[in-house]
Parts: sequence; structure tokens; C-alpha cells
Amino acid sequence: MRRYLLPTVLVLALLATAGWGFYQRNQSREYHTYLDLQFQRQFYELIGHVENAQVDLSKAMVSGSSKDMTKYLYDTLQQAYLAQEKLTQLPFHHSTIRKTEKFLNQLGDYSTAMANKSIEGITLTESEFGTLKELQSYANLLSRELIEMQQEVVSGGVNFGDLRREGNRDLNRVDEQMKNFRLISIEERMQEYPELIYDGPFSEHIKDIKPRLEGKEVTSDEAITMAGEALRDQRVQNIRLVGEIENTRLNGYYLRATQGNGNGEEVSMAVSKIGGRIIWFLNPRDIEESQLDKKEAQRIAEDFLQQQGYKDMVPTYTMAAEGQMVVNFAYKQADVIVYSDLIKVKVALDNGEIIGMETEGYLTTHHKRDIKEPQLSEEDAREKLNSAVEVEYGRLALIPNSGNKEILTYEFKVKFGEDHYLVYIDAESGEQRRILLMIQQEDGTLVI
Amino acid sequence: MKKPICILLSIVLAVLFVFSFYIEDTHAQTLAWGSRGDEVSQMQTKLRDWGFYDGPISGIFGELTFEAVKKFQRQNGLTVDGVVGPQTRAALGLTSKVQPPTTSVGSGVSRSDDVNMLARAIHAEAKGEPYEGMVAVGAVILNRVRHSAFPNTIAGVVYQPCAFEPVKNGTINQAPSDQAFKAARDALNGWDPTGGAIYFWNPATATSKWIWTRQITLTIGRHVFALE
Repeated sequence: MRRYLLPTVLVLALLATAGWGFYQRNQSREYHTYLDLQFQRQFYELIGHVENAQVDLSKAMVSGSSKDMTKYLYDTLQQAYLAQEKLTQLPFHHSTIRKTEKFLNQLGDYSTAMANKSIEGITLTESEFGTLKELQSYANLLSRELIEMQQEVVSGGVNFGDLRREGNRDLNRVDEQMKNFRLISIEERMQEYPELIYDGPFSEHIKDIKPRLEGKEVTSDEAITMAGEALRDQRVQNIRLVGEIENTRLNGYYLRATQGNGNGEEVSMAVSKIGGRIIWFLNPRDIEESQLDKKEAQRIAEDFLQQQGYKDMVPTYTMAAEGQMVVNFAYKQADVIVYSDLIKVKVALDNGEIIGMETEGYLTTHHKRDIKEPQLSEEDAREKLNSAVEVEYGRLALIPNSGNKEILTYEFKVKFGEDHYLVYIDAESGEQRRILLMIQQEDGTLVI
Repeated sequence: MKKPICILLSIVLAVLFVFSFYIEDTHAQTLAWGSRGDEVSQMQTKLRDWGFYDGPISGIFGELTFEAVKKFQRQNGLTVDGVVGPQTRAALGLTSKVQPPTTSVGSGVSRSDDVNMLARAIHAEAKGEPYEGMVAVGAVILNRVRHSAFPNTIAGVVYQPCAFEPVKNGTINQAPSDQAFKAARDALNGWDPTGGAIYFWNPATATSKWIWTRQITLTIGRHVFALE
């Protein structure tokens, strides 16, 4: 009897393992299919959205009134946005689809810019119409290629679930697959479409903006000396060069240093090559219990900026969290707040030390502006506000629009119900340019 | 006689080993340094009432709370680790209702979800990097959101297939460290050590040749950052 024990146990174990393996295999196949089908669904939807975008765009161009045109342009935006969203969640490597993604984003963005124009009653120019036509023909091309790809998917040539797995192992091989897969050729065709310049966040001109910062170029040694002087009161010592920041709008030196209280805390910063100004500074030390109130902290931040040689900066909003407070400053020229020229200062609430600074906005955009007299008086602008809101104050502010041009507006802080808003009324045309909702939290005021 | 017992034992062990894969880690919401939310406030209130804690009822598990929890554990004969696991939870008399940690919200909209998502991505991608390297990873994610060739939301960028390693292997779901939270907040507040980079990679593990054709801005710790 005893000698059957071992074989029996082994056979049982084998059966159990086999059963378990079978179950696992089935389960993984189910997941695989599920994933594949999800990706296929997204792919179908992608095609649908591209087609719709193309059709809506053509309808916009045919529309007789600017009202109808605006409507179809907004539809184009929505469809392009959805298409882009579907495409980015398919398992393709970024390098194979980035041109297509960019095309979809710009298609939506350009449509919005044109819609905004026609909503204000501005007729589109000949060349803007030309661009729309061109975009439409590219959208048409994209949808045709995608449909052909879909045929391949249906005929079983492509399995998204597989692609996903391959992608995990080796992205180069996915790229190989992609070549048979038409996406590469779509990408190549997309390369040819023209550079678009318009009032929108994805316009080409934005990345070409030159910084306004002037001064002589400093060496790394000079940069270290200048940083040491600027942060002397923060007891920053032993500053050393870690690397250089290149190819950016604002090239600089990346430095690290120790903080002077001897426990080896490391801080880091970047100093611009032109002019030797601190671009950012970060001290990540642990913060003890708060000793300062927000007023004191704000005053410390103001004094620090003064000391750094930044004049005419006014605090615009503050936010405190985890024992530290970030104070945002904007430049004030005469009585106009210039929101592009932004500097942030971070104060530790335990001992009032400056533990962070960020000046990139200021350094890239700050210059003496030629601000025209507003066409509208503040009273006139106030008339444009919704009558249901309570106005707390109004002042002039220069704000960047989505295309990074600056427009002169009246900024009104208003109360509606429980919430506060900032409403910006164009000082020339009286159009409402932007609304921000202010969120009052226990830790500060957030503006979105 | 001895041999079959050995074999039997090893089979039992093998089976147990296999089945241990089925035991999922049960998330009974362990509270530890960095946790936040109503439950933390609840715990702080209890600890204060019993005289272990004299800080504010902030809903944030920080140093004071940590010390108070340790004191409580010491007095109650629990393991003194400052972590509120199932036992300490029971001793504290906290309901073990699982609730997602949330920060209090003013009037309906908040960025705390963004902070959370970003902090998790930073924690998973840049653990052990210098602090500015963590902020830099957060900045790259935010730069991608604003870039035309990437999705337009933080979640879209983080969960984009083939984009981030920790999303593929699931480490993105780990609770972020305090430093990661801090770095996420700095990135959201506009600190960008990368000069506008939209790519970063670790030269030791990056396999794509394509990535090296990007314009490199700088190297922080183990990561190379680059523009288009």
C-alpha cells in the first residue's frame, strides 16, 4: 500500500498543476481578447472622429453665415479633440504617431482660433480659408489611410493585444511592425503640412519666442559667484557646477550647493548664462511647525525680491501648503499689472527662510512696454459685467492671450454666490477676454 | 517512510506557493506618514482626546502625528512603527471603512487630484533622484499636457501606452512619498528645472535610438532631459 502513496500524490499534483495552468491560460487569453477589442473599439472611434472632423470642417467652409461657420468650427474642434484623445491611448510608440497627434491638436486649435474670430464678426482672410482647405484635405487623407488600416485589422493582420505585448518588450520592433502598418507613411505625409501661425496655444510661433533678458554672457565661475551673492542670506555655500542647460529659451548653469547650517542639506538652482540671474532655486528641506503667519511670510518674500533687484513687483496671489507658502508676484508698469512678468517666491513658514524662487516668466518676457491709453473707462468696462455679480475692485492688467500676445484689460474681482471670480474685460473693445474662478481654501487662494 | 513525507511536504509547499499568488494585498487603508484625509483627522482627534497628541487636527499625517502614534503604540503594547495598520487601527477604535484619501475641497473644484496623480508618477519614476530631478519629472509631464503632440490632460499623459515604465509594471499605484508630493506641488506651481523638456530617459536602460536624436537640455541625477 505504502508504495502507491508517492505515485498517487505525484499524479494528483500533476493534475492540479495542469488544471491550474489551463485555467491561467484561458484567463490570460480572455484578458488578451478583451484588451484587443478595447483597442479595436478605440481605433474605430478614432476613424469616426477624424471623418467627422473632416466633414464638419468642409461644412464650416460652405456655411453662408459666420454664425453657422462658428458652429461647425466648434464641432470640428470637438471631433479633432476626441480623435486625438483616442489616438494617444492606443498602444503605439510616441515617435510613430507624434506628427499625427500634433496634426489633430492643431486642427482643433486652428478651428477654435477661426471660430473665435468669426464669433467677433471678423471675416476670415483668403489665406486663412486656404489653410482651412489644406487642413481639410489632410484630414481627408488621414481618414482614408486609417480606413485602409482598419481593413488590415479586420482581416486579422494586426492584433492590438499583441502589439501591446511586443511594445513592452522592445519598442523598436513595434516601429518595425508599424512600417508595414501604414502609420509610418501617414506620419511622413503629415510632415508636409504647412506651419500654422495663429492665436492659439499650439501655434508654431510660440516656441520661437526669444527671451527679452539682456546682459553680457557670464562664465560658470561668474555664475557661481553671482548665485552666492544673491543667496547669501539663505546661507547657501559651497556652490558647484553640475551641468549646463542648453537648447532652451533661457540657457544656464545647473548648480548645487549646501545650506549653511552644517547638516549637509543640498539645494539646487539654475543661473542664466546671459546676465547671471537665478532662473530657479529649490531648497527641499523638511519644514518644522509653522511659526509665521501669512502676512509676515509675504513681507519676507517682498523684501527678498527688492534685495534681488526686482523693482515694482506686486504680490498677486499666495498659496500655502505643508508649511511653505508660494507668493506670486507680477510686474507693475505705471498702474497696469503685467501678468506675463511673473516671479514666484517660496517661504518656509517655520523660520521665514526663502526656500524657492522661479523667475523664468519674468526673465523671458520682461521689457518696458508701450502701453496705450485704454479706450474704455473703468466705468464703461464695469457696465459690460454680468449684472448679477458684486464687484470688489477693478484695475488695469495686461494679460497674455492664448497666442501669447498681450492685451490690455480691466481686471475685476467679483463675487457671485459664494465664489469669487476674476473677470477680464478688453480695455479697447469691451469684450470679455477671460474668467478665472478663485478657490478659497484654508491654505490659500488658488486661481484657475 | 521519511522520504515520502519530505516529498509530500515539498508538494504542499509548492501548492501553497502557487496559491499565494492569489492572495491579493488587501488594501485596508494603512495610514502612515504622508497620509491625509478624514480618517487622519478622526485619528488625530482620538489621539488628542487621549492625550497623546497636541498638534492641530489637520487631516495630514506629519511628524507630530507620527510621534503621537508611536507613543500610543508603545503604551498599548503594539509594534512601535508609527504606522496605523490593522492592529493599531483596531486599538484606536477606527472604523476600517475603506475611503480614498481626500483633501478638503473649497467649493467643488480642486487641484488635489492633479497633485495626487502627479506625485504618484513622480514617486514611481524618480525615486532616489535628487529633489530637483523629481520636480523635473513632474515638469515634463506638465509640459507634455501643454504640448501639441501629446494628450491634453495629466491622466492622459501619465497613462499613455508605451510612455512610462511604471505604468506598465504597476508601480504607479504605490503611495507617493512626502518628497514626491512636495515636488508635484512645485511642478504645478511652475518650477521647471528642465527648460521646457518633454522627454526624459535613463541612459542606462533606454533602448530606443530615436530618443537620442532629441535636443538634450540637461542631465539631472540619472535622467537625461530633452526637447522635441
